Amino acid sequence: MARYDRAITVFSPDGHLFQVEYALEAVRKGNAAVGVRGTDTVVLAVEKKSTPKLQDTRSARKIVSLDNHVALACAGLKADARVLINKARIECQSHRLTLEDPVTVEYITRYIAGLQQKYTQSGGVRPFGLSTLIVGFDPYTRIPSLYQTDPSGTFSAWKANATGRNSNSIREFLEKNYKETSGQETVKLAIRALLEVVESGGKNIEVALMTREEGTLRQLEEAEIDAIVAEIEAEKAAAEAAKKGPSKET
Amino acid sequence: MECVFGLVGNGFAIVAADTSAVHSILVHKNNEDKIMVLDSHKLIAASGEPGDRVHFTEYAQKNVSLYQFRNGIPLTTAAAANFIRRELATALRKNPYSVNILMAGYGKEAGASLYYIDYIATLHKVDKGAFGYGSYFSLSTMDRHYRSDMSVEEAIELDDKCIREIRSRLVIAPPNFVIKIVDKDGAREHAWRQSVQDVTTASV
Repeated sequence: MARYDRAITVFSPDGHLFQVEYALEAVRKGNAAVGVRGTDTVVLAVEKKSTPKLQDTRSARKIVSLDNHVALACAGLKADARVLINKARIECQSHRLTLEDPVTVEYITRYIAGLQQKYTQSGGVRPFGLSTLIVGFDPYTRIPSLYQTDPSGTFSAWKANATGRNSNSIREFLEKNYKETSGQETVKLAIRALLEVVESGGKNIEVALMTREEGTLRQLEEAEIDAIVAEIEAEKAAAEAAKKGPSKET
Repeated sequence: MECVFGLVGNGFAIVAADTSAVHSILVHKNNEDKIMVLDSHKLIAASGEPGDRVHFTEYAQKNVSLYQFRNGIPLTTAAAANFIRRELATALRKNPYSVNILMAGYGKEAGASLYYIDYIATLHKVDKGAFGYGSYFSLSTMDRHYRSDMSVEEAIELDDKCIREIRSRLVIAPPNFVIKIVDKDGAREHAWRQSVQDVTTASV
């Protein structure tokens, strides 16, 4: 087995590309990221591991705009992310220049996934160690989308998904609790999912959303996140009390 | 016979451009918008070869957008002007762009500013500027009446004086003009001055 994991371009006898799988391991070590698609809102929420006191948080934004109507969050190697995001931003403007139209979310996802795939089939390079969650509204149709790519270069559309640390537990939670939501409910669902694995509190998560009306990415302030977290905790406490309540009375 | 001119007033910059698209003796259309909105607070009024004009200004606009996405803040007017000049200069001794540009912009620190950038990559920061045969008339008129703290109404009056001068003295004067303004509230179209309108329906 060890002989087949050095060069990326070498398959192992049982059909694995080990470098790609190791890249997926790197993703699994990255911070948790959640994406939820509502009927008129798309939300990205990312875990913020303890921010150093002296760091300027504005320079360490984890949810970025690729274009006015498309945003991306990722889990994995942040330096690799910078390279991919830069190339994607250039492609967004290049598309606007040559086709006189903004990209669709699917187009730019396919482009990013294509880039990630290229680096699994070239000599002397390693794959990008990150998975991305891409959200946005298509131009003209204004249909909301959520896509995910991974180091192997595959991509697919999702109603809700998670990547990074403990993504399996978050995905389980989403599968159990997902329903069509809109507006603030979508934001709450994303935050509730993330809080399954992250310590509660506005300073531990970064949340950004895009609504069909506004059309551009809006980062939530810490105070706003705290308020929603408080709402969620209150709802949870009420649900707990409701469960215990009837049994106490009997 | 393309006419482009502009000036800086009190907290705003205004540019006017003719709107005729001409090919030898034929006028293709007379509502061609030659003033492109570069971003929320910048305008470029361009004159010259139509193909080069559109190609270059669109290229500049997309690069200005890219900068904003990469860095989270927009370019300053001066930086954008220098970027455009640099692009023209690099292409100059290979395959030059035949485009003259007046760039108007508003920035919080610099206020309103106007940049004159000609096709051989000359860059000047100016209070008033003009390109084309019309410049003989508009520059003289602006030299006579311009003051540095004009209000929007006064600037529009001066623009109208220039347009009247161009219409009466230039042998093939463009019939229509568009005027756009940029101030702290952003870049936007201000007015049209039309003496000829496109014929839309044919009546039998």
